[in-house]
Formats: sequence, C-alpha cells, structure tokens
Amino acid sequence: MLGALIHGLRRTAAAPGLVILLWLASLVAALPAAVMVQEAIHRSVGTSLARESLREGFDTGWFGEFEAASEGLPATLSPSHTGVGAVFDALDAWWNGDLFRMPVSTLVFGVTFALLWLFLLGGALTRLHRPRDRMGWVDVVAAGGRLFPRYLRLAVLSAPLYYGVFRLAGWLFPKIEHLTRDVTLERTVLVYNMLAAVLIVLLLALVKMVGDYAKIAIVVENRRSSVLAFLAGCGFVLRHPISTLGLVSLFAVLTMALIAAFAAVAPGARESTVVGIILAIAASQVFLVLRTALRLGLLASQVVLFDEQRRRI
Amino acid sequence: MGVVEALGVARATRRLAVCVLLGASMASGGAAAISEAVLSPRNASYTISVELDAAEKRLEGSLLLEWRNIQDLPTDELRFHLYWNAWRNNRSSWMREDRYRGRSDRGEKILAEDWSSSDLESIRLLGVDDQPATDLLPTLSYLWPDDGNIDDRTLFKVDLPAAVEPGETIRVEIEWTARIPRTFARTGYRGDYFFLAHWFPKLAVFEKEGWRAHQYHAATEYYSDYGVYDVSMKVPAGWVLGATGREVERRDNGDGSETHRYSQADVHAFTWTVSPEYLELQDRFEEPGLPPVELRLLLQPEHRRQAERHFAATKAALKYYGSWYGPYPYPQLTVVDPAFGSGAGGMEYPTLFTSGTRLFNPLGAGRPEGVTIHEAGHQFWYGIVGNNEFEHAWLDEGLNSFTDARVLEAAYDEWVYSKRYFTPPGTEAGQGFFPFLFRDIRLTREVDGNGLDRYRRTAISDVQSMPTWRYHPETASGISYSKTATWLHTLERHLGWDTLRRILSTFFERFSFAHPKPEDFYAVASEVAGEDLYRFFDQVVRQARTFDYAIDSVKSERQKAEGWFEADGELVLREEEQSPDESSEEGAEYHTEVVVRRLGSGTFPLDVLLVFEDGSEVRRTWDGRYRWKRIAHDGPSKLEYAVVDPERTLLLDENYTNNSRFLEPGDRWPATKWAGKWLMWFQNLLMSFAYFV
Repeated sequence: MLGALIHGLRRTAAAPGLVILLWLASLVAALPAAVMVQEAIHRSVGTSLARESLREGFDTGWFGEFEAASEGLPATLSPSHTGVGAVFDALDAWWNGDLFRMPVSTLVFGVTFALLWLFLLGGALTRLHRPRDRMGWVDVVAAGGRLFPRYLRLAVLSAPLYYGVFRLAGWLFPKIEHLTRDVTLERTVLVYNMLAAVLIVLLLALVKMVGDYAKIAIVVENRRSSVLAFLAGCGFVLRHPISTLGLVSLFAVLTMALIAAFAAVAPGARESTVVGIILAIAASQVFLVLRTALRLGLLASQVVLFDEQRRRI
Repeated sequence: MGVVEALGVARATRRLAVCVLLGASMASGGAAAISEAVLSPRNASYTISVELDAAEKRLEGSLLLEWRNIQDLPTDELRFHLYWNAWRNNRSSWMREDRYRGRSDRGEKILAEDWSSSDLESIRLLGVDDQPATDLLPTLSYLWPDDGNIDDRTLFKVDLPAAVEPGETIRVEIEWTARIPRTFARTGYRGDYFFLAHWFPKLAVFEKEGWRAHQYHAATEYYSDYGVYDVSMKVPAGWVLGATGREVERRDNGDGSETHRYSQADVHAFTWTVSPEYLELQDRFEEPGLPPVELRLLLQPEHRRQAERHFAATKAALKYYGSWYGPYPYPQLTVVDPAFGSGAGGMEYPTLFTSGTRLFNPLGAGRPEGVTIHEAGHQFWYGIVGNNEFEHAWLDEGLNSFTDARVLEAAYDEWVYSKRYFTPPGTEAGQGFFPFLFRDIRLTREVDGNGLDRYRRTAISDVQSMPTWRYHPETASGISYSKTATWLHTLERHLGWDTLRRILSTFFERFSFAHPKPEDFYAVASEVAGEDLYRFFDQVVRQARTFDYAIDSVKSERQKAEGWFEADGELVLREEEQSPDESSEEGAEYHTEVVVRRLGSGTFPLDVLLVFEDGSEVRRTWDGRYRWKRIAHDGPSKLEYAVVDPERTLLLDENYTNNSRFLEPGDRWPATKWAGKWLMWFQNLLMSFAYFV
C-alpha cells in the first residue's frame, strides 16, 4: 500500500503536464463564471466608495445590498469564500449532498465540468499506466476521446449507487435526529452524527473506488464492456479491502494536511494592492494545482496497486 | 385508591397548599424575596402550587389569583390566556401562522406525544368573608377576537356574577392540568430538561378601553400585569431548579420529590426550569453607582468553560443598560443555558432569561455574548417597561436590539464573521457543529448589530404601527427588531447619543412597571429632543416609507471662458482658443456640478460632501425633500468624489452604495479580488462535482 502510494506520487510528479492540464480544465471551466461574477461586483460598486472598502477588506453593508440585488451565479458569492473557507464550503456541500441542491446555473457548470473531467481522465489514466511511454497532449486527448463513452457508461452505472448513498443519508440523519431528540448534550449528538458521517463518507469512497478501479481495468485490461469493468472494479475492491481503502485513507490524510497548510497561509480579505491581489489569486491556484496533483496521485497509486495485484495473480 | 379518588385527594391537597401558602405569605407580610419598596401596581398576584410529572411530561397545578381592578370602569368578566393550547393540534392560530411563515415541515416532525394542552379542572370566584365560592366554569367560553378561528383555545373568558368595580379586589382559584410540549416557542421539554414558560392560566390585561386580550400568535409574545408571585414547584429530588425570583423555601417531601418555593414581587410573569444536568454557578455584579446583583448561572455541563463568558456578558448588559437607562431593581438574576436542541434559547422572562451557546464556540463569533446581552437587556425593555408585545413588540424588541448592539460594541473588541461547518443533511446551511472564524471580516454595529439586511428585506412588508400580531409572520421580527434598531441608530446619529440616551432613559423612568404605548414614546422623544420628531415617526412607523438617496451625476471641468460675452455693450463670441491663459486666471478654475437624487419615498435632511483632488472639501446641507438637487461649486481643484450623507446618518438608506461616486471610472481590481476568491470556491465546487464521475 505504501509502495503503491510512493510509486503513484512519483508517477504523478513525472507527469506535471497532466496535473496542469486537469487544473487548467477547472480554471477554464470556472473562468467564464468568475468573469460574470467580477462584472456583477464591478457593476454593483461602480464608482462608489464601496469600491475602496472592498479593496481594503470586506464590506458587509455593501454585501447585503449586492446579495439582495443579485441572481444566478453572482448570488452565490459569500464572505465565507475568503481563504480556506472556500474549501470548507465546497467540502461541506460535497458530503451532505447540498452540491446537488445548488442553483441551476451552478449545476450546469458542475455537470459540464464533470463531463470534461471524465473526458480527460481516460487520457490521464492511460498516461499514468504507461509512465515510460512518451505521450503528448494529442495522445492524452485522443485516449480520453477513445475511452470517454465507456467512462460515461461507468458514470451512469455509479450514479444510482451515489443516489442510494445520499438517499441513505437523507434517511439516516433525520433518524439520528429522532433518536437523539431527548439527548441534551451536543457532544453526544455530535458523536452520533460523526459516526453517520463516517459511514456516508465511507460509502461515497467505496463507490468512488469501484468506479476508479473500473476505469483502471478498462485502461489496463483494455476492457470493452463497462458493465464487466464495473464488476471487475467491485471485485478488486472486495478482494483487497484493506489496501484499497488504506490507500484512499492515506490520500485523505494528505489532502487534509494540504488544507491545513493552506489554512495557515491562505490570504484573508485584506490584500489591497494589485500585487497583493494577484498573489492571493496565485496562492489559491497553487493550492488547487496541489489538490489536483493529489487527486491524480491517488489515481496513479490505484493504477500501481491494480497492476501489482494483477501481476501477483 | 382509584384514579378518580386519587385525583380528588391530590386536588384537595393542592388547594390546601395554596391556602396555606397564601396564608403564610400574607401573615409574614410577603415572602422574604418580596422587596420592601413597592415598584409596581401589583394588581395581578398569583400564589401557585404545581407538581411536575417528569416521566409523563405533565403538570398539575392550582393557583390563587388576586386581581385588583385599577381602571376607572367596572368589568363583569375575566379573560385568561392558555398559551399552551397553541400547540394542542395543528389547527390553532399559532400553528396556522407558523405554517404561513414557511415552516410547513414542522407539523410532519411532530409526534403525538409532542403536542401540549392546558385544561381547566375548575375555576371559582372566592367569596368575601364567609360567602361561598362561585363556580365560574359553566360560563367559560373561548374567544377568537383576532381571526375567528374556532379551533383556537388560547384565550377564554368567564362571566362574573357581579361586576368588579374600580379599586375592588377579587380572588379566583383555578385548578388545571397541562401536558408539556416538546419545545415550541422556547417552552417545553427535551429528555429530562424542562423549561416552563407561560405555563399557567394567565389573566389578560384590563385597560381603560376594556380587556386587551389577543389569541396567541406565531409572531407575537406576551402582555400581562405586574404582581407578586409565590410559586411552589414539586419536582424530583436532587434536580436543579431555577425560576423567576428567589428561592425562599425548599422542602424534602420524603417520596423522592422536593418542593421548591420561589417568590418575586413586581414582575409580570413567572418562569421556571428544572433538570438533573445543570451546573449551578454563582457570581455577583458590582458596579459603582449601580446596585449589586447576585448572578446565578444554570449551565449545561459541556459548556463549563464558557461560564465566565456568560457572566461577563450579563454584567456588561447590567452595567451599560443600568448606567444608560436606569438600574436593574431586583437583587438577583438567573441566566439559563438551555439544553442542546431544546429550542429554549434566547428568551427573556422577569429576573431570568435563557442564553444559548454551542459546544464549540470561540470568542469573536458573537455568541453566547450577543444573545446573553440581548436577553439580559430585556430585563429593562419588557421586564421593567412592560409594553404590550401582542400589539407593539417593537417597543421592547427594537429598543433592546438597538441597545444590545451598542453594548456589544462597547464591551467587546472583536466581532467577526463566522460560519459553522459539518452540517448534517437536513440541517440549515451554516449551522453545523464546527465554527470557523473569518478574522479579516469584522462585523459592525450599524450593519450587523442592527440587522440592516433584515430591515432591507422587510422594510415595506408591513406598516410598523400596525398591531404586531397582524404582521406577516415571516417578516414580523425584521420590523420589530431590525427596523426599529436601525431607525433608532439613525436618530442617535441625527440627535447625538446624549440626546437619544436621555430620550430612552426618560421613557424608561416614566414607564417603569407600566404599560406604555407608542404614543408615549413619540411624546417623550419629541419633548426631550426639543424638536418635533413626529414627522420622522410618521415616515418610519406610521407609514412604510423607503429611504434611498443617490449621487445621480458628477461633473468637474476646467472653467472655459468661451461662448457669448458682452463686451463694451456688444455681444462677442469667444471660442476656446481665444481664452486667456488659464494659469493667469484668478479665482475659480474648475466648475463642479453634482446632482443628488432622492429615490425613496422617505425624506431626511442630509449633508452632501464634495472632495477635491487637492484634499479640500465642500459640504452642503440638503433638506432631502425634493426629488433632486444640483450642487455647483467653483474652485481651484478638480472633484475626486461626491457623497451624500457622508457620515451615514441615515442608516435607513437601503442602498448606500449609490450614495457616493468618484469622478473618474475606477479600476476593476476590487471586483477582481473578490471574483478571485469566488473563483477558488467555484473550482473547488467543480472538483466536488467531478468526484461523482
């Protein structure tokens, strides 16, 4: 497991172009929306003094007016997007399913990006599986295009499982609320909720692992059938529960360490010079590059693990 | 012993207990905690004996009401509130209105055992001297003066055999049973935790126009007369009990139960709480010039480390409210930290209030400090000045919100934006278990303390002078709390704090232990301010005027001596190139024109400030009445920016962003800065979406 982790990280480090490609994909997908938000903010502050208070920090008075007048994507702006809060907001929405209750405009962007990510993933996995091969951008994109239909079918196969997990969460947490309705201590209620959250996150990770190993099986074993690949993914996770889950857990720890490091250095709301603003944006993008690298590192490690176990057989 | 028989014995015992207690109370000239100085009319006094069945979540009680008619007209009926019948079923006016304000799922979560009830077993008018008591129960009828909802049982009347004349006192004995709700409106139980407010049949207020009694509504609170309360509560032995007033007696009943007797004079309600879990802590408020107050804190054990914060916030409230308006007159104050999830937090009762905190709650997030100051402040606005909360809730909620924000600003250095994470599905967004403080984003009294956003959302939803119970339930608090706090802060900036403080302290002094009406407040305000404030109150209270002033246009150009001029009696066309050398021109070089507009329907006198590139400033006053005004200025420097209401006196202005304008179009960096942060969040969000494929 540790060997897979180290080899996976090495393979990722050896393919910085892939990391950049996937990070760029998120940037390119989000940038048009960000321009819309920037335009909305600029239109709101116009040439008023609020422009200066926004430059110096955050103006809750202006924000109330902006929020009241905004619709669509600009209406999602929140003071909690400052620093590491942006990461916490997204994480909270991920595990509790709020992600799918976002405004339609956000959902459209989300689904579009997910498809783009899926497309690139085929190429990325092919590249990570064959680290010694020289693959250019064109090869990566071509591999993505070739694998995309199968990956899309895999996503369709995974969707009901994710739906089931969130349905379970929708049943479980009210149940906990009901079971603890006479508990007067928050810490007791918190423990119940944390246990339930661990279960939900574990199930989400399980479905994710099955999907990931199915994608890997398609690349490594050149499987044509998505259904059989999905079953292969299931089988692999079931045969190697400790190493597969351990690997995911190790990367979860690394991701948490990255978030903690970002929290320590994350820019707040007070950068006011042009250089400061650029550096703040750059810092947040560096974090995203590293986060993407970890995501890719996990995939690479899973490829290594899959290969190792296959070779043993 | 049969059930019926047992019930009869229990009732007889309780009746005897009430008589004994009343006798003891009267014989001793009132209980020890009843202050010597009579502060209030004390015209509605209760002696109550109640037994808590903690397992069955029931109360059985009997009370003796002594009521004196202090009005100049007689009455031949009595009206009572039975608040707990609001949660008897989902057809009460309270529940209907609760659904109306968008909490439609509440009914689905309620189980059969969660509903409450309050049922009268008997109600008798005690005779004078040896005359027999009169059974009033056959005359009982429920009233629905507000909405005609015949399913509502929160208000009833009984007919008296003879009218109660002005100055006459009557005694009424009531026996009742009640099922305790799983908390509604901050009263009820959760496990072994009980918080019992508005729990007994309570007499309405008889005013000079007659009975002032409303049904219980989702958006309103309470109204009652002052009196002496002497209450004995039988609860499981060893449990910690807190109540209005002070404990004057505790008796071990030898059957696993204890009876706690509490007493307090000059209050208009009695509330109690009991739980085996409470940590009981004591402290003392001492401040030069103010009377000392014994503080009792009933704290949840998991909040042990936040005890000092509760005391500090309570002391800050007693200090500032006391020095600004008038001293807290009671010798003690009980602070209750309610059980998690009980829904009992943030509520005021005489000499007792609930705060509310969380397991993880770092300093700077505003809680429990804000809620503690607010509820402690209600001892002054609601407890001592007892306005009718059914009709004019803003008189206490608004004055109190304004003041608590002022205290928070005065007593605490740091108040920053915070958000709670780890939010389980189905929980309100941002109400998770773990808080995170954004220390770079400071919150301010004028915006966040007053609740400017809530005011903006509710500014025109109702006319403030309407009875509160008629407000739309969803926006009622925005008007009562935030709008009032905002216009009071506007008055503070307009009149100065010293004048506003004198207005409020005069109002406090004149109407302590009384029931003031809005007209009383308007009159005091104009009298103390020395100016007619009725025009202001007309706009903000009697009408729902909106305020919005804006800089419409700015222009600042170098003076050009071009155009048609008279020279030697003849008209001469002078063109730009014929202008004399500008550097040699004396006096004005730049002609500046600023047009300010009134976009809202409300008017307010304001300043307009022009700031020039050389740092000089020109200030003009504007009465703000006409729809627009042109301000022209000739001077040596070019305009940098103009701002209407530069000190933001008119906090009621719903859009302050348009109050200022730079001459030159600005750069986009401030927008880029915040769009950059949004971009980071959005990319993280997109990656979360990508997780699922």
